[in-house]
Amino acid sequence: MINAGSKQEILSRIKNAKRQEIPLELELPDLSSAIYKDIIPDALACFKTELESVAGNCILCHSENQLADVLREVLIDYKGEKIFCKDTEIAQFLDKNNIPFSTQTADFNTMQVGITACEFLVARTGSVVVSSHGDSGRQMIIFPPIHFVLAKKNQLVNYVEDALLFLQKKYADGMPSLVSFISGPSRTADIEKTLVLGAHGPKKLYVFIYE
Amino acid sequence: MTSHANKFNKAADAIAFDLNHRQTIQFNISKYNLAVEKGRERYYDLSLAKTRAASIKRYMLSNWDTLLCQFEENALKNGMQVLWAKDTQQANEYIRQIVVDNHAQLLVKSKSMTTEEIDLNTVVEKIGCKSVETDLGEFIVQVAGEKPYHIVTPAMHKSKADIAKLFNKEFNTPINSTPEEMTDYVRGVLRKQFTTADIGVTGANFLLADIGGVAVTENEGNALMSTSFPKIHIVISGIEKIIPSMAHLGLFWPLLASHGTGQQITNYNSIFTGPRKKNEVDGPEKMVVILLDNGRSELFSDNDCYEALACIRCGACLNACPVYKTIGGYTYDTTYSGPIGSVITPFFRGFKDYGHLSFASSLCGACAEVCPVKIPLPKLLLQNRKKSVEKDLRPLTETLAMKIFSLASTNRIAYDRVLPLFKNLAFAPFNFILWGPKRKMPTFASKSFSKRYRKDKKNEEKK
Repeated sequence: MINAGSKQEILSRIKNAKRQEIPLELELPDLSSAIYKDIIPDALACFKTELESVAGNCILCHSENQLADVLREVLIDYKGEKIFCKDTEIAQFLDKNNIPFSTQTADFNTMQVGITACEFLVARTGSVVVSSHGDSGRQMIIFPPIHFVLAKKNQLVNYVEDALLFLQKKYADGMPSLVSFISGPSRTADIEKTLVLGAHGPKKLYVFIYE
Repeated sequence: MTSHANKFNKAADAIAFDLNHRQTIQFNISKYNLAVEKGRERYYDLSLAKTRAASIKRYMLSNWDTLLCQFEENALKNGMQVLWAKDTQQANEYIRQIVVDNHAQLLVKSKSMTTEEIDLNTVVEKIGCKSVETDLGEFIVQVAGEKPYHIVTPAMHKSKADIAKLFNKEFNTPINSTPEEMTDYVRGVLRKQFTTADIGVTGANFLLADIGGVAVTENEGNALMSTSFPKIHIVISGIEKIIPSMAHLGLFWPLLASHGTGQQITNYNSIFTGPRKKNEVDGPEKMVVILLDNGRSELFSDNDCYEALACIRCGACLNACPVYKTIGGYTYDTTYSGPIGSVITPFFRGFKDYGHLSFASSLCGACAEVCPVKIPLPKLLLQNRKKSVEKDLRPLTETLAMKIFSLASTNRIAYDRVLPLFKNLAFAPFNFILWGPKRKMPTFASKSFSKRYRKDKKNEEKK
């Protein structure tokens, strides 16, 4: 599939556009003033409020021990083979706390809960930033009917811009092939603009934040 | 008048008074309006956000070729394949080749107007590869054998009862299914397709020059599903989707969401920078980006309308347009409808067949008011009208009427000399034919303004 010809053709048409110089915006817009509202009262509370406003669940834990207790409680209705986890670190944590789960490929299609880590949390928009880097990969982000995300409090940033900047810093040698900002469970409003949760991705999204 | 313009007039006539259609659209758009109002409140300074976005997109246009080359260079470094397509035919040739080379049987497609532009489904199915729309709205119109009605909300013209009836006929689901039940049904059907498909196709909302990335915005998760299981990911993007930097997404993502659906941010905003990396556990083996021109560089050489290339396809101008709300998306008979479609389509498909669209506007200015990147749409519509007239593409009756009117109205004295009764009689046939029998044209007053003014002035002086 040779396309060198088309490339040159397109580019030269752009270069030779028989048009007067584009009037660049005479004055550059104000780039320092805020366009988004402040984070109040603090990043953690803001994140929780925002995530809950888009039908996500946010559970705050003070310690790893409390996190284990909370997980055990919310997972009580699910049998071990219905809980799937590919992340080595989280798997160790679950093992240590006697929370059953599966890593068997055979259980992948029938899982009900998928547990993953994340890159960042964005306070202003209630977003969870995930990537294809790490043990979970792409499928665990989107396939589980219920998605559990474990995050540390220090992964929280204020705005989308901050998360993008941190991502570029963290992956200075090259970004993961996929980075996604997830804000709530999958949704659609394609039928009469009626909101339905659980279109193709998770029907429920739980974010557990621990210190 | 061309057959396209004739068809347009007939279709517009028919649907403008279809009360069911009107009710469905008004209901859906009123819900959108409510959401958008809420979305605007999420901003501290929305007007500044729009100014910044407009400025970045103009900067993009003045550095377009450089940014495209920068994107290609970085994308290649990331391990993507980049193909330049000057038109629909070439884009389809690339896709056909990929399908054939990989013996693909099943292709899953997330929502993309660019793939509608090149009619990808037809092309792929012709060579025996099944192409499945996975966005719920697109899935519904595909099942109905239709095209998207709206660039953001493809099935906006259907009520839930319409869709339940369609699903009942096609899939034997209960006739009184709720939106929840129907969504769940489609979810079940498509999960099997996602996990077994050979190729996943997405569009692009933004191409990121500085990192060689492709940003895709969606609510349903179908784009992520389409790019997590199949071994090939094809992106089809118009070349105007490029922005200089990944950092600009912090501005554009919320702006697209607040204008497209009224959300603060769309559910899934993803950045793809290539196929699966060596240290990654899954993802496609191959990622191909097709950069589609198809008339865009032509549009760029137009002194007025080049600004339409700043469009981020949020759909806000469609929802704001009184004409769109009355004649609906199908009447335009184009991929891109509404005000933006009326501006760009003549450049993509010719003024001869699509110039009439720019006349289908009351120039009320609502579209320019809501545009997040400040495209002066009414001005561009007027410029297009001018081009149609200059190209001699207007119907003879209109050209004649305009000539007579300009002759009559540019001479004040001669104009005053004709009695109002005769004026009304002379205009009646034109009003009936051009203005339409359903609209009432104001009549000429028995005494013209200038006559009354002069008389009043005289009386004033007498006092």
